[in-house]
Amino acid sequence: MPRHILFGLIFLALISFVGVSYYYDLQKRIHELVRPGPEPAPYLAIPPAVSPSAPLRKVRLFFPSSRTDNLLEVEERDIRSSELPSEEAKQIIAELISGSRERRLSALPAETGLRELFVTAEGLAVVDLTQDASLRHPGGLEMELASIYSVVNSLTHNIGKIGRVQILIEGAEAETLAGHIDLSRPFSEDLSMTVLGGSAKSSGAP
Amino acid sequence: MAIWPATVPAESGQFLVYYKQDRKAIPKISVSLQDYLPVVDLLQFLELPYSESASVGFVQITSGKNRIKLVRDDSQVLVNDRKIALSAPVTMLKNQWVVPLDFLTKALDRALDEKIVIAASGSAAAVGDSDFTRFNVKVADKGKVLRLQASQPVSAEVRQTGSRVVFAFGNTPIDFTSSDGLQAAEWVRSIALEQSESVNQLVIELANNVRPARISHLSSQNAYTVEAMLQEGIEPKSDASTELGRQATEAWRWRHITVDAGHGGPDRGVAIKEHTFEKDIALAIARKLRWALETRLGVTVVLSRAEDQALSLDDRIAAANLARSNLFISIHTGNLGNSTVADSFAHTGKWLGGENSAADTGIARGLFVPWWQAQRKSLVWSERLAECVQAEMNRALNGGQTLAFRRSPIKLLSALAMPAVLLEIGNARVPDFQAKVESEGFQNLVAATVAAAVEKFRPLHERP
Repeated sequence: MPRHILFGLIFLALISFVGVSYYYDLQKRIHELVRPGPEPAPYLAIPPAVSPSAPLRKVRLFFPSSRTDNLLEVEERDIRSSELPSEEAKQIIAELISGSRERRLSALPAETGLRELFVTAEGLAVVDLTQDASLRHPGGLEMELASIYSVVNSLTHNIGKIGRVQILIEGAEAETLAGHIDLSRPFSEDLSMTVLGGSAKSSGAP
Repeated sequence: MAIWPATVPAESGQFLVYYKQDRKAIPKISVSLQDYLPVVDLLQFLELPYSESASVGFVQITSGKNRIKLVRDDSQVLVNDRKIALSAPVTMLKNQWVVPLDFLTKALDRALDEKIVIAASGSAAAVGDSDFTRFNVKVADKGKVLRLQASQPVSAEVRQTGSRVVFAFGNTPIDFTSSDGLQAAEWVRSIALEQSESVNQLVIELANNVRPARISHLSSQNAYTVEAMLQEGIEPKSDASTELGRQATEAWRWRHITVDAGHGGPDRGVAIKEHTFEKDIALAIARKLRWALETRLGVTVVLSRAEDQALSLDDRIAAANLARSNLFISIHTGNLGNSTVADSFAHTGKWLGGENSAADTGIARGLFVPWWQAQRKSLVWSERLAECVQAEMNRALNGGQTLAFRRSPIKLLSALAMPAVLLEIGNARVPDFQAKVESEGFQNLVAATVAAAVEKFRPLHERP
C-alpha cells in the first residue's frame, strides 16, 4: 500500500475516533443535565437563619379543603423556634409551599419560591413570592382567595407579632394573584372560612 | 397605571341595516368614541362585489360602473377616482376592515345609486326606496296621555302584557326621538326602541300603579295614543313639582349595561378540561347574556371584550365608567375545592378592615372619591343586585338551595362607579359541569337566569 494512502487512512481513523469520543461525551453531559434530581425543596432565596438545635414548636397551617366548599382546614407542623418572627415566618411559608400531607389542596403552586420575607415594627409581614405563585396558579376566585388566606392566616395565627400580611410578586405590588382578588393592600386574619378542626386541636393563637 | 385608556375597541351595540324587505344586524365597534362598521359584513348583505388585500392595505368595491377604493389608515376614499373625506380613517380592527358611519352617506350611496338614510339615533340605516318612519312622543292632557306621532302612515301590531305595551312594526324601518315634557308622565317608566334581526318594536314600560292602558290608533293623524288608567288615589304630579323628581329619575334611568367576559388572550383563566378554558366559556355566556338583556330590557348592552383578546382590569373598568354604564356584570366560571358540588355564586366587592359602606368612611358626604374606591357608593345597590342574581341562580342552577351571595375584595369591582357583580358559574372540578358547560342549552340557561334577575332588579334601582 502506498505510504500516502496509509497515512490518510490513519488520519481518518484518528478523526473518527475523536468524533465518536466527542459524541459520547456530549451525550453523557446532556443526560447529566436533564437527569431528574431529588425532589426539590421549596426555593428560599434567603433560607431561615435558625439553629438546627433550636427547640421545635408546633404551628397550625391553613390549606384549602378538598372536601368542603370555600373552607380552609388546619394541619399541624413543627418549625424551629426563633426570636425573629421573620425566621419563623419563612419556615411557615416553606411548609405551605411543600404542600399538604393530608390530601388537602395546595396553598401555593409547588414551583413557588420565596424571594424575601420581612416583618416591620408595625406588625406587617411582607411576603415576596416568585411569579410562579401567580403564573402556575390553577385560577378561580375561590381558589385565589383560599391561597391568599392560607398564607395570611398561617402567619397571623401562629406568629403573634404579625398582624397583617402584604403579598408581593417578584418584588413588586401585584394587582391580583390570578385575576380576581386585590393584592394591592395588606390582608388581616380572617378565620370566617376556616374549619378549626381536622388533625389540629384548637389551642388559640400563640 | 392607565386609568382612562381612550382607545379600547369594544362592541357598542348593533347597527341595523334595512334593505329589500330584509334587515341585518351588524356589530358596531367603538374606538375613541368613534363608531365603526365592519364593511365586509355590510357589502355581503348588500350583495356588492368587492376585492380586498390586507397585505397591500386596500378594499375595492364595484357596483356596475362605479368603483370605491378604500385605503387602510386613510380618511379619504376614492369614489370613481374622486376623493371623498370621511370623519375618521378607514382601518382594520381585529382582522376586519372597518369604516366610520358616514362612509354610508358620503361614499357608498354614490356608488350604489340608491338612497341611504341613517336613523337619528345613529343605530340603523335604510337602503333603497324605504325611509324611516320617525316617531315623536309627546305628553298631552296634563300628563295623562302619551301621543306617539309618526312622520308618515304606519301600522303596528299592538300588544299589552302586564306593564309592557309593545308596538311591533314588522320590517318597516322605525326611528324614535323623545321630546321634552316626557318626564311629566310619571306613569311611564321608560320608552325604548328594540331593534334586532328578530324584533322591531317600540316598547313602553308602565309604572306598577297603572291599570292596562287604553290605546287608540288615530290613522288619519298617523298617531297612536296611550292613556293612563291610574289607580284611585294616585294622580300624576304637576309639572312644577316633578322637576326635582325628573332630575333624579333621569340620573337613574337605565340606558347602558356592560357585560364583561372574564380573562381573555394569554390569560386563559381556569382550565376546565383539555382545550376548554374559562375565557372561552365566559365569552360565550356573555354574548348570550347580552342578547337576553337587550331583548328583555331594551337597553344598550356592551361587551367589554367581544373576542379572545387580552384586556386589563383597568381597561374594563375605564370602558364601563366612561360609558356611564348603569350596571356591570362580569362572567367567570368557578373553581371550588370541593369536587362534588358545582354551585354558582354572585360576588360583590368588599373592603378590608371592616369598612364596607360609603357612610363608614364619610365618602358619601364628599364630592370626590378615589378611583379605586368608586364602588363604595354603589355597594348597597350591588348587594341588592347580587341578592336578585343569587336567588335566581339558586332556583335555576343550584337545585333550589338557599345559598347567599358572597363578598370578596375583588380588584375589578372596586373601581366601578355603578352596581356591579362578578358571577362564578359552576365548578371546573366537577365532571358533570365539565360535560355540560360547552352546551348551548346550559349557556342559554345561565344567560336567561341572569337576565331574569336583572329584570327583577331594574324596578328597584331605576325608580328608587
